[in-house]
Amino acid sequence: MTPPQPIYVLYRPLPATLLALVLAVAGSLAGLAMGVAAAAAWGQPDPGPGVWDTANAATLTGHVAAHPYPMLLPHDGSAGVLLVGVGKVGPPGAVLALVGHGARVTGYPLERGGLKMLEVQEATADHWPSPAPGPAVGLGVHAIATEILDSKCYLGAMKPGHGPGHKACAILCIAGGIPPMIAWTDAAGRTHHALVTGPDGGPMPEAWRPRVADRVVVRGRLTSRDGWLWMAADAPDP
Amino acid sequence: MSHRYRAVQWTRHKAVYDGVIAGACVAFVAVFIGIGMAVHRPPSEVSVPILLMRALGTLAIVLLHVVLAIGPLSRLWPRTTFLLANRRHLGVATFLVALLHAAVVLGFYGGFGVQNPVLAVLVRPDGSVGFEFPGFLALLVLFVLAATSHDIWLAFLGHALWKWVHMAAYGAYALVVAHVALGVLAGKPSIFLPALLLAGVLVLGGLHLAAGRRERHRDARGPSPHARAEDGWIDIGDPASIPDQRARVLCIGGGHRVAIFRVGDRLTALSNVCAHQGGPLGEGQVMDGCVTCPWHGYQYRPHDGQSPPPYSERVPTYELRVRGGRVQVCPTPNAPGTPTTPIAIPSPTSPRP
Repeated sequence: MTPPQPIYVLYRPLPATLLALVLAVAGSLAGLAMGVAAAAAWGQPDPGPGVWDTANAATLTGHVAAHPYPMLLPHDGSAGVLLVGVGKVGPPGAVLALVGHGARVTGYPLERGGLKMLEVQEATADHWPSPAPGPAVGLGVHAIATEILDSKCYLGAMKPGHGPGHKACAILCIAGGIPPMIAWTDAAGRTHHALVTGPDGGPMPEAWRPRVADRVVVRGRLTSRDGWLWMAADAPDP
Repeated sequence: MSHRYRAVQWTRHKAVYDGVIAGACVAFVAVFIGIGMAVHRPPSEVSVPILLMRALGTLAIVLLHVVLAIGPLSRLWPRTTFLLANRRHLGVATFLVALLHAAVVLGFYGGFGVQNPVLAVLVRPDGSVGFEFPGFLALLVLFVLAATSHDIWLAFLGHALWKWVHMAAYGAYALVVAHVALGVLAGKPSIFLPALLLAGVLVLGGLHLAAGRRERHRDARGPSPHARAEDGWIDIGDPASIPDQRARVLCIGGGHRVAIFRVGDRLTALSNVCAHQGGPLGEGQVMDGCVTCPWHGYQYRPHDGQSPPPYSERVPTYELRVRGGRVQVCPTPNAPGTPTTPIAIPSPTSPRP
């Protein structure tokens, strides 16, 4: 009769005949776990090319506009720069107090696909003459299959800043005053972006908030101005 | 074994075990973040907090798979029973890793805003809940399991009820699968992640089915009708084939198992169910004159099923007798700790009484 293998008892020395098995099992489990870690890390979806430069603050001067969302229109005539606050909130009161005036704004820049945003650290009045907002160009009514995003995360504050995993954060950002945005790709493969307002140009309808980050069809009037598109969105179908 | 409860009764093995688990967890997170940063390079890098969140979430799932696989593995391959010894430490580690995952989620997705972070993550503006909710429920279940993992709760609830409570680990697993399927997989990841989760579910399910089938087959076998005497006593088979200091497990019907231990040329019979966590005493060994459970080393004297002083655990004993040169066991158990008289293994030439 083959003598039975000794058993393992946790308060006694490990039997020599079990040592190889313990090492083999521990090694196999550890190797398997590391393989899972590597595969799962490798298989993460591309979060997109947004950039948030928290190491180098930028200072911009221009005219502060309030519509469709607080934005700095640089006096060099380049596209408008969205202004937001630190955290998941809209711009600070110092920025809002400068709406309609020239301003010097310092903050950390975010950029994706040519769209720019500044997380404002400091805003002061600037006495240099600044350009007024350009003319708005209506582009008609469109229905776009897309996802409603919060613009700060999407532009680079969080990567990825879209998708169902990011839904709670996007809702929180929009509730705090970060401008909502949609992104879609046309038949030619070009990606377009538009800020989202309500039908009257005010805040996005409340009824859209639970559906942020879902796949939805947003319908409304598209308008272009100062390098930005925005959609005056109808309320969602019930 | 304990007659006094301490937070953890550290042994060198436990210290090494916990050190290895902690080291492996740190290595897992480091590998995940390292490869995540190497593969997804700027400007398409993944934010470090999100890498950490994903690494911890993935690690919690891996740990939960291992915890749940240990049981069926030890039934299918008894030599791996050593994995059971510190399984509760692995369970507590799973809860702690899941808690860290939740903390990073709350801090990063729920923080820096104008609402309570917990409510911001768990409740949608219309009062509904999202994929985070099953994850939250799973964390609650893991907390209950971790909090009641100590032997104090085992003694308070009794091992049968304690086992039922801890079967909730399967509920936590189902909630975790729902959490991942509704959240991560809905985000259109590469084929790796769905494949990994599916493989985990299939492996775990396959192990449990195989182990359950083996145990059911073993129970169904029971004693053959001709092994039962007219008064119900059951023939234990050839006692000489029981290895010294070991046992033969006999299914006596009704789901009950008796462990017939051999010590030298003497036989005794105990319930196969350890009083601690219900471990299979018959798969243990006689050490220092005591039957020793292979799960956590609880010990019982072979002749009366009592733990040696100062310990107080007891298991039922069974009477043995020799009839017609055959050894038989009484199918009715004695009260736990009842002394019995060991019987000598009858030699093939011994006279029949």
